[in-house]
Amino acid sequence: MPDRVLIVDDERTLARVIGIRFKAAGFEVATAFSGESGIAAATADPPAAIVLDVRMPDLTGFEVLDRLRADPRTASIPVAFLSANVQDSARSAAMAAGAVAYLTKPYDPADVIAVVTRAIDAHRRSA
Amino acid sequence: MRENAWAVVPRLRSWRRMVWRVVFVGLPLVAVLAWLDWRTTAAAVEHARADRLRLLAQVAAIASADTVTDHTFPAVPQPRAATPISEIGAPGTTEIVDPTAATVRTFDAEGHGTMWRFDPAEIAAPTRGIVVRSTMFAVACGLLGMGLVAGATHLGLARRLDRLARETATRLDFEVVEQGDELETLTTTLRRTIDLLETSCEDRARLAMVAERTTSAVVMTDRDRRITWVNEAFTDITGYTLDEVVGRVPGHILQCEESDPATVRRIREGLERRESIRETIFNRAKDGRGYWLTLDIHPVFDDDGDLSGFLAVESDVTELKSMQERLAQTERRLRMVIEGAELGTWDWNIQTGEVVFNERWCRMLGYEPEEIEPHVRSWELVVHPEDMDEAMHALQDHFEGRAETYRCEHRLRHKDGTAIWVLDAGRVYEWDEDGRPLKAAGIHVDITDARETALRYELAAAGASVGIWDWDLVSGDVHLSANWKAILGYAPDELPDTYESWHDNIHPQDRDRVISALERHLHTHSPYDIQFRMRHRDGTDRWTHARGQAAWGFDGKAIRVAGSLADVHDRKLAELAHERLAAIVEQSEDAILGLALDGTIVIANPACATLFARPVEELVGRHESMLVPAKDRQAELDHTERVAAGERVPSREGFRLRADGSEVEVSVATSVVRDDEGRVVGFAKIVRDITERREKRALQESHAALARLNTLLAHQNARLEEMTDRAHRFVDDVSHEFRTPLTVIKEYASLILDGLGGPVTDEQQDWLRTIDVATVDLNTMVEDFLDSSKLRAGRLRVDRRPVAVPEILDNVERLLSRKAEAADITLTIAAAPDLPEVFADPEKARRVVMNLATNAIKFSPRGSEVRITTRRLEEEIEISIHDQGPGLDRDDLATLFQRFHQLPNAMSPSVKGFGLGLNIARQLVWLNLGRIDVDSEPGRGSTFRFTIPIHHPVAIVDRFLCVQRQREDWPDRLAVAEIVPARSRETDRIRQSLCGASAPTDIKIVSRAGDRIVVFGPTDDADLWEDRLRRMVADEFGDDATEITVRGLGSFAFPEDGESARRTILNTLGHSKEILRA
Repeated sequence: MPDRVLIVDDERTLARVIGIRFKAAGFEVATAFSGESGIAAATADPPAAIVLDVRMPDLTGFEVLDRLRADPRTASIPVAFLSANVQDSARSAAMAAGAVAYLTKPYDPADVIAVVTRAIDAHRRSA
Repeated sequence: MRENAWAVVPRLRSWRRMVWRVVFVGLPLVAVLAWLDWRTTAAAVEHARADRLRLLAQVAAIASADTVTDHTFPAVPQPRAATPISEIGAPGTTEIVDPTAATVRTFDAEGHGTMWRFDPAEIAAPTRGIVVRSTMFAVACGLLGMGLVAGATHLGLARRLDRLARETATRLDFEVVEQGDELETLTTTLRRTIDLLETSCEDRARLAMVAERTTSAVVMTDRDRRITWVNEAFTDITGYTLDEVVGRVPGHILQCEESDPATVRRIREGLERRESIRETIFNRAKDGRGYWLTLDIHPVFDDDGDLSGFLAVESDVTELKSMQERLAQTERRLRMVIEGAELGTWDWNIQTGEVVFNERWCRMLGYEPEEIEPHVRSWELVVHPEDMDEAMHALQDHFEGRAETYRCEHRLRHKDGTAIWVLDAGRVYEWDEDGRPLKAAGIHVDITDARETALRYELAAAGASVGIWDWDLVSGDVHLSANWKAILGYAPDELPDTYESWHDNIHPQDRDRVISALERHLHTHSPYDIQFRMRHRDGTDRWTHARGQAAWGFDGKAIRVAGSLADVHDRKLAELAHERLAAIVEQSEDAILGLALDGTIVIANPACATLFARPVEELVGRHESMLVPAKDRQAELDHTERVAAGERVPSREGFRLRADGSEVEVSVATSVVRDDEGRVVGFAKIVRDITERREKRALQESHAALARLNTLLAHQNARLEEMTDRAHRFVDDVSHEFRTPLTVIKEYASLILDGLGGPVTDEQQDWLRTIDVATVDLNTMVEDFLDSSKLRAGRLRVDRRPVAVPEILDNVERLLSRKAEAADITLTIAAAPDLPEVFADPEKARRVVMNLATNAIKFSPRGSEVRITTRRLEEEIEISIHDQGPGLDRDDLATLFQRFHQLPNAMSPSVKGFGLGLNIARQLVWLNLGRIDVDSEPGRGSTFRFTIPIHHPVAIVDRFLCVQRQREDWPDRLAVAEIVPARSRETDRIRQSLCGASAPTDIKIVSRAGDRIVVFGPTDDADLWEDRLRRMVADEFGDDATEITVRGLGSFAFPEDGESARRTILNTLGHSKEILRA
């Protein structure tokens, strides 16, 4: 059974195209277009990994991550940030917050799938 | 109080004079009144009047007139103002028209008559003294009548007679005793006139008629002294008619038992010797009435010189005699008065010095008359030495005619040694021909009691606010008047009459002064006149004014002192206020001018001299306008007029002239000066030199302007900052929003390219790859553009930290290889092994590699190689990017790193970019404290190299300074500070905050080890910077961070002093080295 990846991004077209990439790579994909719906989706049916946008209208990616970490059902799900902010400080902050990766837009789709695949594997091993 | 002689208080003179008048003048007045009494008897008046009218009637009978004009004759209202007869008549004639109506008619030279009517009521009315003169007047009239009869040639004589009569009358008015002599003179004149008339007048009958009508009795006898004729006046005096006496001898008829036989004998003998005789004799009239008669008897000789008879003019001098009697009586009375009043009298022969003192005089001094030598010496011996001068002066004044009388108050020594006060008054009654005094007489009155009473009375009467004090120094008795006590707020019985009541109530600060003044007075006789404070019953201090006078005994010791005490509190306060005000005016640094209404300077204080550069004396009396330059005069005048009109006018600023013609800028405050009744009488002007103030104000104004500018600038800055913030937020937003669609484009192209949308032809693949590269280039361009603007704004955040070199390169490799692949370029990255950590912001370093490598790929021909290598230099790591492109010529190299520099010969001209890439790369290198340069030749490719410092504080300092030297916009001072957290585990957090999003890029962390962080950055004030660091850390950490210690380690000049700056920083870091190594 393929791993399911939750993609959370308020930019729907981007979420969709990322989803196409993941499907092509053999993942099952779920998408959410806001922070709250992302959390709801993750909680309702915890995915294997989450690709999370940082800047969204309702919640920031960091807030979403904190909420997910606070819920035991979602606390351990690997989260990769996909951000337009290229600042190194933002990257540091994301890593400090417990993200498995901090990818910047425009991203290399191969990188994203590689990072997520690695994270799911690492998570499985540690579990 | 005889033993306590009073000293003379000068102010009492007027009162003393009063005493003198009462005691001394009053007595002679008795005499004068007595004399007046005599003079005013109605009988005398009637007598004189009758005489006159009779005479007038007789004169009137002489002539008649043809024309008559009526006049009311002013009836001699004032003795000396009477119209002289000579003027009435001259040059015509006078006649008596109607004796009963007292009418006189005068004729002028042409015979025109004027009627003069005497109002009988007026004749009776005049003051009593006139009567005597009226008699004389009448006589003169009579004589004049005779003169007129005698002819015009004798008019002059008549006038002389008249004058004589007037003078006589005048003298008579005052010197009654001399009347006899005057009568004699008159009679002599009369006799001469008669002689003259006898020889010159042809008509003897008329002479007889004149004789008949004179007020004096005229008797003519034959050689045997038998009466041949008498006039009517004879009848009036003697009571005998002409008929009764003709043929008889006058003496037989008239003389009586009381007639002085000696006189009678002298008359007889004179007659026998045929001499002129003048005698006064008491006779009796027919009715037995006695009267005094002055006889002038002259022998009358005929043309042959034989005695033909005697002419006697007889005047009734009864009244004269009676007066003499009265005088004698008055003198007796006076003597009685003198005796009764206990007046001491003295009669002094000034030439011999002999003095007759009466008994009272002697007893007044406690002596028997026998004990006093009748000489002026006796007086001199007893006069108080202090009073001698005054007495001598008073005498001198009288002797030399300056004073009508001699009058003096002085002390005489009583036989028992005490002093008595006397009023000594008198006058000279006999003078020699040269006006030297021969004899003088006077009185002594004992006024000792009067003086004492007077002093107290005087002082008590001087006013409610004057208290009296009196201190008997012998007995110690003190008298304090009710007023004295009232001044201190006490009722008379509330304060005892003691020395203490005085002494203890003097204000303690004034007491010594008061007592020493009093002692001075008692010992040296200096005036005791002093103002001091007394303690009022209500506890307040009252200013009082005390004056006093001591009395000294013959031994020179003060025996008594007394005086007044006045409450002058209000006045004194006013005075003090005035003095203070005066002192203020004196001391004022502002010029103060007092002006009269017309602008004349009345007062000028010393400051005027300074301000106007003229002596004050030069100002007073001049007009104010001399001090005002012409251009300012009208304004000054307007200002003054507004003040005068009662307006409230603020001080004005204007100009004043100095003596040298220079002008000084002043402010002028003007106020009106009013007198006690509120009338404006002038102005006061306070003139202040405001040159300094003006300069100060100008300075203040420019300060204020600067402050305003500063505020404005701060405001603008704030706005600019806000705008910049907004701009940067916008840029961030743009950057963010831009990336997302770009990613979408790139991703979909990539999806198609990867065949996820179905099969793709080779041609389509190539096109899609172009889209992909173009989107990446577009992204790079936008990022460059944004970074460039951030760099220029100094807002690009730098997060330097120790970092491994592969961390920088690994991330860029995959991106670059795709580009290289797309451009058919071989990318080789050859990193040296075992490189040390560098101190850098890896993101920035990565960007530089990307930038340079992208350029290299862009400009390299297909199939060529782009090679990235690293090597270690002494203190840094060098990263080089080699390409085999066209290379750069010299011109290109010079401008290579400038903004918007477009590199030529790009292999893919479709993507040009903004020409920002190399500029940004250089700036990023600098941010990491590294260097960048390029080595290139046309046709031989290019090698771009940049360095990153190895993590070593000393090297970093050097590098920092080195890099900063190349910058143009960097301040020339640097500050070093050390941040020491209270807990060492905080160090990382602080470091992070300093490097974090809000941290400014101008602060450099040069060491981070153990519990210290040394930072430095551009500023010229280490203390301010220290404060800024503290706040910065606190903002990031909240209150906990207040536990950090920030030490300003100093600031130093840069770049001039670059070497010493470096040393300072290194020394500063020195003590941290141990920790660094650990």
